[in-house]
Amino acid sequence: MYGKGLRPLSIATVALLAVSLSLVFFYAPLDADQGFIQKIFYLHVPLAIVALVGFVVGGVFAIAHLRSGNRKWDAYSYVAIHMSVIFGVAVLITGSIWAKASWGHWWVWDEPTLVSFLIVFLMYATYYPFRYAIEDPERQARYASVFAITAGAFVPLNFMAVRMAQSLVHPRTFGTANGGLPGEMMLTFLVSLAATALLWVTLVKFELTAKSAAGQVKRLRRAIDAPAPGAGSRIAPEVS
Amino acid sequence: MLELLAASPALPLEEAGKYVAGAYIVFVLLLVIYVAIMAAKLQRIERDLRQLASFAEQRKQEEQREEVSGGV
Repeated sequence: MYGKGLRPLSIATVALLAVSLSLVFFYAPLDADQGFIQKIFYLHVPLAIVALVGFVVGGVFAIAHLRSGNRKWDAYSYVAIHMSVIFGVAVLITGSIWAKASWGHWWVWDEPTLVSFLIVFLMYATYYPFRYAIEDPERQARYASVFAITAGAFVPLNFMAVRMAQSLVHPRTFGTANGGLPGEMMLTFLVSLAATALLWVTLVKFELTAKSAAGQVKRLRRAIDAPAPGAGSRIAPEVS
Repeated sequence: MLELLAASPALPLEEAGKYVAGAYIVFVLLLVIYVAIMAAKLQRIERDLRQLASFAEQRKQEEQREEVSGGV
């Protein structure tokens, strides 16, 4: 029943994304320092925030799995991390484009925010080989949950450590020293953040629905004792 | 690094537009790729369901035939 409410959620996501894009290009003023290039901020920063929060959410689902032993939570954790990794790819690419336009370099190694996000991303990139190196599904789910909790706890710690470090060039969105964002920019940013978060929720629900349908087909096949097709090996956790 | 920042003033609109468009196109492209992968998965599920339905139907027909031949 994961597909329940997927249609209105998808419509709401598309509508909010459209509103957000309209605000970005027709309402938010041009940045005095960066000019038009600052429009990438409304895409890059919400993606980064949602990806990082998604990793933490994956850890919370993993806690629920270890506490209850219900495999459903493991699947939730897997999908949350999977979606956040995809968002992470978008963060790295859009960040690189912004860096090239602003600083003249695709990547700056002495910028803590960039490097710390790369470390978090690479850490979660190891989640897949780690998970599928274990054949027993029970052990796989348990070990993956431990990974998700440990890595999920690392994300806010990492964020705070970077925040405390003396930044050189990376802008601080909600910085208190320089006054933060002006009203129109803040509104546009918050709408973009809400749209990106809604997109993440919709895609997670979409993925869970597909996994659930695949799981039901598999169980049906077992129930009627039908021969399994040759193609398609399942590596992702099953959802009932 | 501060010198680097000071030496990189805001890009003119025609130059910045390419980068902004590039970033948003990357985002849309990733979404499209994801949706395409999901569509392929759904097609596979649909094909599996069709196979299962025909298998169940075939089985039912065989059972009916056995019942008929058993009755005779």
